[in-house]
Amino acid sequence: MCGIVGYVGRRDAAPLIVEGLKKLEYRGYDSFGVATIGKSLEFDKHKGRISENARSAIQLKGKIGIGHTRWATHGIPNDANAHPHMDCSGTIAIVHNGIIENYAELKRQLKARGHTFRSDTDTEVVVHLIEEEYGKRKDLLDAVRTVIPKLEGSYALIVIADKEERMIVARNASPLVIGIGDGEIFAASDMTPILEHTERAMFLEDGDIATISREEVTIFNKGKVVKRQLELIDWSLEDVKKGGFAHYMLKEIYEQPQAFYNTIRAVNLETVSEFVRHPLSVTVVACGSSYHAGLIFKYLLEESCRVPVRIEFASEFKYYPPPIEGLVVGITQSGETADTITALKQAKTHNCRTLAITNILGSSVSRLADATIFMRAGPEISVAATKSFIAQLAVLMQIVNNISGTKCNDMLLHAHQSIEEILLINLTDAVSVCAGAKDLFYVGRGPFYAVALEGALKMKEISYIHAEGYAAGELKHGPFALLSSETPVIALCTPGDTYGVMISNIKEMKARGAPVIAIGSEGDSELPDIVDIFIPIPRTTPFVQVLTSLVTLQLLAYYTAVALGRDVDKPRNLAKSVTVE
Amino acid sequence: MQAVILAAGEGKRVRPLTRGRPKAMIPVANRPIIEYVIEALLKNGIRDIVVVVGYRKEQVTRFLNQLNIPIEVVVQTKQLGTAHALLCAESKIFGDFLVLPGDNYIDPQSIAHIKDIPNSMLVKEHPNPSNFGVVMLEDGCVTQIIEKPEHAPSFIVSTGIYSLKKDFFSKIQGNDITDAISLMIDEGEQIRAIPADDWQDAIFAWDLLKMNRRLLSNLSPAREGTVSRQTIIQGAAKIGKGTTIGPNTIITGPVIIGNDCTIGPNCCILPNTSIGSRVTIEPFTSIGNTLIMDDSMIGSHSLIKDTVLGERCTLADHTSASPANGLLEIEGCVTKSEFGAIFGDNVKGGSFSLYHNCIIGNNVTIEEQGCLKSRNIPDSSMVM
Amino acid sequence: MECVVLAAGEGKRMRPLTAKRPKVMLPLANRPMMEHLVLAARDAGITDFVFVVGYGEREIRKYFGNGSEWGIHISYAAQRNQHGTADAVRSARDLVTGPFLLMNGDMILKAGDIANLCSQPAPCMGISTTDHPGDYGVILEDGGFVTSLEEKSKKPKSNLINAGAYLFTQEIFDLIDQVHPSPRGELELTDALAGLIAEKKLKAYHMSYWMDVGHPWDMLDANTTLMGSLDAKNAGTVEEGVFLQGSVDIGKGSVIKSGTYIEGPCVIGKNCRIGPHAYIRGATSIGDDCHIGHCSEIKNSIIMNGTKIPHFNYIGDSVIGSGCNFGAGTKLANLRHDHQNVKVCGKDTRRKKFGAVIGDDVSFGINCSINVGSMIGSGAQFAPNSSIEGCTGDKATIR
Repeated sequence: MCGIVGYVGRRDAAPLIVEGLKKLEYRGYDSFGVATIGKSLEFDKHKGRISENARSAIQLKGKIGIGHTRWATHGIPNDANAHPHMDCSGTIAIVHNGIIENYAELKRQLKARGHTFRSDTDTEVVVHLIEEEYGKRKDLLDAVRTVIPKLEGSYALIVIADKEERMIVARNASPLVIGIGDGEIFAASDMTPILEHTERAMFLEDGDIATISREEVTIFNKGKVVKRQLELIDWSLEDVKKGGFAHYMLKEIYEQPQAFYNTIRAVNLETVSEFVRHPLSVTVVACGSSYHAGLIFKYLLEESCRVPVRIEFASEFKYYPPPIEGLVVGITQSGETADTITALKQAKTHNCRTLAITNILGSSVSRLADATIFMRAGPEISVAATKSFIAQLAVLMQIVNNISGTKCNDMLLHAHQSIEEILLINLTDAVSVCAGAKDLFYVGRGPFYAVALEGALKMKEISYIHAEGYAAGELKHGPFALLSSETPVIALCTPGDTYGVMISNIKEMKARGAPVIAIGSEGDSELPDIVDIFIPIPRTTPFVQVLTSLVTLQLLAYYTAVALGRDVDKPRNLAKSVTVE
Repeated sequence: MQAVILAAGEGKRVRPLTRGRPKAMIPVANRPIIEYVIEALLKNGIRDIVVVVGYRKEQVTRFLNQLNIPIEVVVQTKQLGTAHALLCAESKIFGDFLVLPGDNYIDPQSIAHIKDIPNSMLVKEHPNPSNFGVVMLEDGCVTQIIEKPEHAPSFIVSTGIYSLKKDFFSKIQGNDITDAISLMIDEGEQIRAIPADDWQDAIFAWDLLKMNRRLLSNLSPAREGTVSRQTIIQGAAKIGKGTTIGPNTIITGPVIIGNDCTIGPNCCILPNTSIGSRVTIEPFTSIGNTLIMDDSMIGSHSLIKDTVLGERCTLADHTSASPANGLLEIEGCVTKSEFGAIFGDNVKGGSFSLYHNCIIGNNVTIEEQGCLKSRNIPDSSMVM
Repeated sequence: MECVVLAAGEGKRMRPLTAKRPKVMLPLANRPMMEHLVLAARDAGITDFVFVVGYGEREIRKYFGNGSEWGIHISYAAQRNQHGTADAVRSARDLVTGPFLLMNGDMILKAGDIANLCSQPAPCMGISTTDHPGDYGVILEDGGFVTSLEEKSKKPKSNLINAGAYLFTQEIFDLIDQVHPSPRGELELTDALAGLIAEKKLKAYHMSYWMDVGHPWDMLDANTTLMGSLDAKNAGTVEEGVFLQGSVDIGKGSVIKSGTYIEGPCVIGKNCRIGPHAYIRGATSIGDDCHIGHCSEIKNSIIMNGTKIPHFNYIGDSVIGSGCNFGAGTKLANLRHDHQNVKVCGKDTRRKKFGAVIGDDVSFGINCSINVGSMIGSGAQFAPNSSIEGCTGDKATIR
């Protein structure tokens, strides 16, 4: 799961590639590297983030180059494992996104034939294989075409070699876009690095191998020359500046009222296919935060419309022959999440109609699904999903609203006001409790169970505090053994069916000595007396309280992470979008 | 040339409107006051702008981010005074610079008067000088600044807008800029006083209505959204995208209406009214000389005059808010005033309620048939 | 000689006409503004062009292609983010090899001037005179050299201005590299020239003719001027009983029906239906696929492609976008009762007669009245009998 960029053209390649890699950092930021063909093959690669260490990479000379930003899969993040990887002679360089599944076998063979490996990556086998064939055939394209059938797994790769005025690219199950500029051509994992230079793009398909020079692209598939549609990409470059905010995450949290309102206004179900508006049953596939959005959707749709909803982790979906029918909904902010894409592909093989919900126009998932609804969150930079999550909920709530006969129109159009209101909340006491804890429990019932899961996820990903979300009733079935005065519990306890039983659950937890932070409705007379810290949110409908309690938990996680001095926007070991399975 | 805009202070005397935003972010004629200041600077070719934020800094920053010019933001963690705020921006300043309060309107021409004269300040005559720094002059130079005197010796007040040199930072001792200026005068430096053409400050919340009137006077009319043929629009009216104006509504400019509002049918929008975005005005309601912020709703058959309505308020049908004279206690001072009502954010007003000369705090709920005159209702109360 | 044409900007002052096209593609005498400039450059002997494109680049690429239709060679450079004129020039780097001519795409020049400018020693700036220099870069000249350049000065020191046409060598790219971006991150070409001006190395060449189009209403004068040299041509069908006076150019496939009276100069595009009984006068240009019907009168106006003015309409001194539809009886006023200059959205047009600026795809119901000086955004819709005045935004509706 990495980002790759390639360039052949009239300008110095290195600065363009570095700029491009910065835009792909959401795919990983463990290490990065650039290689160019100047007088000979030159490269520069480092552990760490490109925004901080790119000074020497920009100096590389040459008008052909490749670059890579890495999220480590094979081999720890260090300088040696950073891409690009070179062959033994140092004249061929490769960048790769994906996983070569049969690399161990290939590596053994190559070592036996005397190749020296400098890294622990799966990628390096590819460049040594190319080296062997290039030596025999003296033609880089032929060499790559001979090597590709030997590879198993997923890959988007770009190869350059000394004395060659072109780059060779190949793709299988990992995204690769070619951007056609004026006297220059780009290749990249997605459109973001290309958009600044051209609006004309070609999306490669699985099995495609292409040779790219300054002026032209020739694409082969199964040995034949093929044509891929030249598409004009309509999206404008959205400026993403942090402005005066300390972190992108805080900025994005504050953009949530707007993101929610814009999405509610923009999602018009009238224009979406019939099968979305009247489903008999729905299966949701998603990962991470998107899964939690799906879980909330399940509660709302089943309760309001009596449509059965199944929800699956996209990564688990493929491991059993699912008896799926009806509508399959894939939720992914980036539109590139590998598991979700695989799950939707599988749904299609079962003749199910598929709907994608994503934030990125032109992303892989939007080209795959039968219908796509775009949220209007705008670009999200911070790794922890905030406004994209709220915008996903806006889309899902709008779907529920539509299926239920637009009963909630008015409420949805005004929900952003409550989100705005919650931004003024003061969480100082709760933050100091959380920042001092090693373990946290989040509990809720009904849709607030999903809120608890999401709150816990936010807390662990950015503050590195171990946090678990539980359905409040489940705590007694085991986890109670962990409760003590050292394990604060964050309880979601809002008026409704679950209120009474939540109060009993809270009393039980208090009895085991756990400090309780409760999120409840303003004006609640009972709750503040039995908990240690009471966080009031505006008294509104459950739909809206789902949103406001979520935002409260985002702020709690954010301020806790800040109090602990964490790198909020780029937490360790993570990447914004997970493009490997 | 650089400019520092001070937008860190809350502006306590305009409470309850400052719960969710500092005074500089209060929308007047549908744009935050600070935007007029920034615009005036841009019109003078000053693009290198530093804004000092503090109170509710995220709200200010979010707004500044969406402007299409990059603006430097610095944080003043504790609001200790204007000079202290200015010091927060010291590392960003390289030469001559302007200092401006973010919560006062200033016209571009006045900035042109002062920007090329270092060590000068903009001054303005004011009928009630006691709320300001009163300036004593001699030959166009300042001899003394007296902060908020009970008996003002002159009607000329400081606008808080200065043109200064980088070395001013070394003169700062107290927490306020006027202290440092007084010190400079004592040391024999000359501070030129230059009259401002147009400058507006809102000391109290009801003064916003005057500022609103002033800023609407140069409104350029434009029409978007959906307007019924039976609507009558006279004078300058600006109607935003997605707004719907129902039949038989009469709009008499200057009036500005934001995006996605629903107004009418049969409403009367009288001059000097600003209506934010996503506002609903139900039929048979008359509104004049009023400032309504985003996401509020006013029920049918209401009369709203000389009133400021915060965000997310709901006033039920048959509400009447109209001006009366009265005395109100603001921040410990009893003050004479005449206006309809000032509503904070998120107020729920019941039907058939009357408001005269009152201030209603944030999150207040008023039950139906309430009658409030010259009252100052604190935040989150319930009026039976 | 190679020539770089800057055509990346939207031209915000031309809104709402730029909704579908960049400013340089606005039609004058039925050709995009930039085509007139490119033709003049071609007539001055230039065959190799680099167009720097950005906003609406598809329109430009689609229309001009590789230039073979004009007997020239065009390559393109995309400036996707508008970071100032110097940045635009920089994007053409490596696409020009020797000394080159640089021109703004939104002005009209004569071939002779371009040829003369090309024969000057580089670097050289084309200069011109104007009666409102405050809107441009004002220059001072001494001994054939530019000695001062001041952008949009409130108190212009002369009436000489930078015409936006230059002759440069490759050295200009190095000068641009030395410019520090302004605080807002923009690189202006005039900053790159500051050094040359200070060292008295930038030659000045007086253009004999120069015209630029700043606002929509300026298009009418430019249209009139360009149609001054129009030849009568008829590639369509003119029925019996049509009266044509002066130079009238009728495009292929267009039909002029009986009873129509046209006073030239007038240019009519392809596949139009004019008449019966239409009256067209003044310097009017009508795009392709338009319909001007029975009892409709058009005077001194620009009508873009696909607009229908079919029954009992009057349009005078106006600029109308493409795809508009005028309901029967909808008329437009073009003169104030007090005979003062017409203002549009508060801006003085400096014209006593001006009708309206109307964007693309605007629909009028029957019998609408459009008041003098109206500006109507694209996609606006008006119910029958609407009275329209002032500024109306995109997609506004009266119903």
